[in-house]
Amino acid sequence: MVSMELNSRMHALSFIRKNTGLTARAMGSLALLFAAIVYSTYIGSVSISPLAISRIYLSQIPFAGRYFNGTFSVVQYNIIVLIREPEVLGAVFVGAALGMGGASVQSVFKNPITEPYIIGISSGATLGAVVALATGTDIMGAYSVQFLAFLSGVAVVLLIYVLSFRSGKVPPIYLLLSGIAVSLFISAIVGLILFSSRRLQNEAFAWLLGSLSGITWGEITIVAVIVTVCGIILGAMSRELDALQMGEAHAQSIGVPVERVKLMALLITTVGVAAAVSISGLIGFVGLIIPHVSRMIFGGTNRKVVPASAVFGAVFLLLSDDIARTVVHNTVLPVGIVTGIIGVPFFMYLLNRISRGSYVA
Amino acid sequence: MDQATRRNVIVIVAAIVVVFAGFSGYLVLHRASSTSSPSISLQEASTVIIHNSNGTNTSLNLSYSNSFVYVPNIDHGNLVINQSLHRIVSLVPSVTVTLYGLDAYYSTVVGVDQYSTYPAPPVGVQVINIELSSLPVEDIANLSPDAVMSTSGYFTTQVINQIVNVLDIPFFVFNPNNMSQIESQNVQLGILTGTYQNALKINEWMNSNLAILHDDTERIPGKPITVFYDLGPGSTGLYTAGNGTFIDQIFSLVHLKNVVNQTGYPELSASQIEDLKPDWILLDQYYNQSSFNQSVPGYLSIIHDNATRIANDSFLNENDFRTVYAAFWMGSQFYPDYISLANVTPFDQTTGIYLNPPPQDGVNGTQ
Amino acid sequence: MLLEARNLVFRRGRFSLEYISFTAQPGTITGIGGRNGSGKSTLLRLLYGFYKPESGDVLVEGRNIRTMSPREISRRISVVNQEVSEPFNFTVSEVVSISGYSRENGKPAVSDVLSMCGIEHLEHRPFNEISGGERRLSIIAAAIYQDSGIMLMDEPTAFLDVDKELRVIGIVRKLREQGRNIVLVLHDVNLLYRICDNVVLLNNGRIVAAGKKEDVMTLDNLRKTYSVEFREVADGGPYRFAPASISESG
Repeated sequence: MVSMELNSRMHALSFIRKNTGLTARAMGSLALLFAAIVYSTYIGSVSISPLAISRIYLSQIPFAGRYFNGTFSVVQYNIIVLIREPEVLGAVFVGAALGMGGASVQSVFKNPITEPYIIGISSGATLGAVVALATGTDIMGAYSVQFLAFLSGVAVVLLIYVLSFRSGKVPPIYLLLSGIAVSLFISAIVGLILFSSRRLQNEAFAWLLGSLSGITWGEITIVAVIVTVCGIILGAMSRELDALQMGEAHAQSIGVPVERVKLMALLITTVGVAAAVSISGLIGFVGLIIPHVSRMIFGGTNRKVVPASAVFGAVFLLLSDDIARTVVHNTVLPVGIVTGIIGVPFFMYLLNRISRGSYVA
Repeated sequence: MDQATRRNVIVIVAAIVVVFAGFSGYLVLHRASSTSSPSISLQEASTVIIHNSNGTNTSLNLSYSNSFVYVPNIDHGNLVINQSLHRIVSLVPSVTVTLYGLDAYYSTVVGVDQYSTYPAPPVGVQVINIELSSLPVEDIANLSPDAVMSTSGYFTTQVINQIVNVLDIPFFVFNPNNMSQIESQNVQLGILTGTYQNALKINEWMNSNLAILHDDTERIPGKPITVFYDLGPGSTGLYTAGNGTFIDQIFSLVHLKNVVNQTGYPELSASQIEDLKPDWILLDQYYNQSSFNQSVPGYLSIIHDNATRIANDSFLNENDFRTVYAAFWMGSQFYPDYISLANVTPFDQTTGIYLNPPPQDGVNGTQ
Repeated sequence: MLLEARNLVFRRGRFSLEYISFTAQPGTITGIGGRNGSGKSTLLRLLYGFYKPESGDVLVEGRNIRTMSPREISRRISVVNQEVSEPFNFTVSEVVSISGYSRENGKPAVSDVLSMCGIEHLEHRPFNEISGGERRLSIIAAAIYQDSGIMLMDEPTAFLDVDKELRVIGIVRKLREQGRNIVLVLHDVNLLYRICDNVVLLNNGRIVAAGKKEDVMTLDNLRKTYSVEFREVADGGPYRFAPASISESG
């Protein structure tokens, strides 16, 4: 029954592609993102009227904002501007990074069931976070954990990349295998560190499940800039990523510098995703399923898939976070649990679909 | 458009977007910091300066109770309070109980965590559900408290950062770890809430009863009974409280000897416990037989009849004035002929502070 | 465009190509023949720089491809590989336009190359859903779209139905008429003779013979190449050679 419902929903996605113009689909997606942002700002344990929220929005407009002050309370302003907005923007940029990263990694590996974490970002970032928690390292004050997670995520990916070198090339299959091997190794080390301390298990628990609460403006500003820059570069590489999907021999024959593009795509993806993961913890399945949704609605070219994955990743994570905040009264679930629960049935469906060799209904 | 032009356009657009993103990021940060100061470091302070109504200043040293306060950056390293606190969110039962004992609860507490059940939160005091590492910051913000109080180890830096640096609310961390630190905590909370006189009365009550306990214990003949405190199964054995822990001090107050020599909270295997030959095993209130049968096979054989269960954990875990009752209870379990809860002088009559329900309620586990 | 291979040496494990030299002229079709594993496809991959030779050079119009970037090579050489990965969700027209990655001018249009290959009706169909033969034609169309002087094709007719095979042969001949330099890897002896102007025969990584097909495709060279005795078939239509063990009457 469930799979039948899913099936009809997927048919609906293909239906959208076949029966609406590109502009309409693009505008529709952006409108969806806007609606999700507005809705997510409205959701919260303290209820604030939409009127007050829109006044708070207006007051934030640079220079003109001062004319809108005073029609809402300081507490309302604090809750919207200092607590909800960073979390909502966090969902937007983390979701976008994971979505785009998924599109890029799937193209590089020519494999529809990979996600950015597969090249070691997740295990590397976890190691960094856990080491920071365990040693109390102080590099960037309160953001030591995030900073170390980011650095260690990038470093582990580079390590895996170097380990995969085979006579001047990095074959995706080696990259995949050494990614898995190194990730398992690092997970064992993380397990060892966690085993040694009960206190740490609590702290690391939240990180491993992924959570968007507690994100501050300081963090999101940095991550937003990194993710935006990475997104632009990935978007500009869309033709190269398309070519990689056709196989490396084919890509080389049409003039794509395959090894350079692969390194560049993986590096940019890693930087963007590691930055996102450093403030959110491990949120799964976004990078896996969102690129496929994008392809179903916009077709396969990365020129459309990369930006669409950013938008849909943001929407998906916003809505997941809304669920995480509201599904259990008085409690905020880690958002990674929600994306996992939604993601797995979709993933099974996708596997089924791919095994039949096609996307299209 | 040919290749070169297209690439140039991409580069220009990219440059514009990067500059735009940087600028808007700066603007946003700047705007946010004009109302508050999102910073990347947590500042701890052990001194609170209180401006009194008569123009003098009181300087409060939190380190006397092994405590400190995270100070919002906006306050430049010193927490300064005008006269006293009026809206407190207490996220740890010991602080809640102390505020109640000080008769400051109804006038200052606006929110408590779900474990603060003594006293039962009245209408108007919001119960805030805290999880392992997250808490609904929005609910706290909505209460506009002038202080949040807890103990260490509950919240991540990220959460504390949000309360302290994003919302500009000082976050007190109380960690008293012996009787005199508890008395310091009483005084500090008394000064912070304008109930200093009551704090002195509570401490007087504590001191007189600790003296009674001391006299009672002196009369006990022979060597102390040895005990092993079972805190529940770990991965290879049982956790227990070692030397220097708070419960270890209570043991020595009532002529008991902890068989464990390690400090902190070590994990011991069944054979290690057997080697220590404890006279008694002290079981946790929520002790669960089936769970430790798996982790320490053989353990059951030495429990036999010489095990007793703690009637109410809260009195032992919450480091506040009610610990006095916990000590008397503990003593009465092992030396009923010498130590009795009935010997504790009534709190309300001694201090003049009438608490309902009375503070000793439930120490026997009987409600 | 003139394509020259000079003393190419390539070794990987037990396999090796030793001192391969030949020249392919514009306006001609050069066939590379040999048994499975003789090194045909490896040689092809050396020709466009996907593999780097241990020694020896590939020259395009006298310029060494070692000195060229992939983009510069691809403007001169396009390739039809025997197999391509299955992309996730591309239409035929998207697959073709991907090959325009390095092109400098806007010609030919996607629709032109599709109709040249007789698959204009597939333009908006998903690449993964069309048949194997249609995919081959799409990849050939993509190579034409790349608009290079030299075209390398690895077994362009393998596993095709007769009608598609004839269409591919027609396309290749048309490309020769346009003055392109076509290099084909073909394991079928008769096809080699039918289509090609010049032939390179490989056995175990070494050249048996290279040159005009009339000079190269002797019964003696074929025996050395394929380790089978051949005989000539009289009036065999497209079939000129047959293994000697099979008699004409069956």
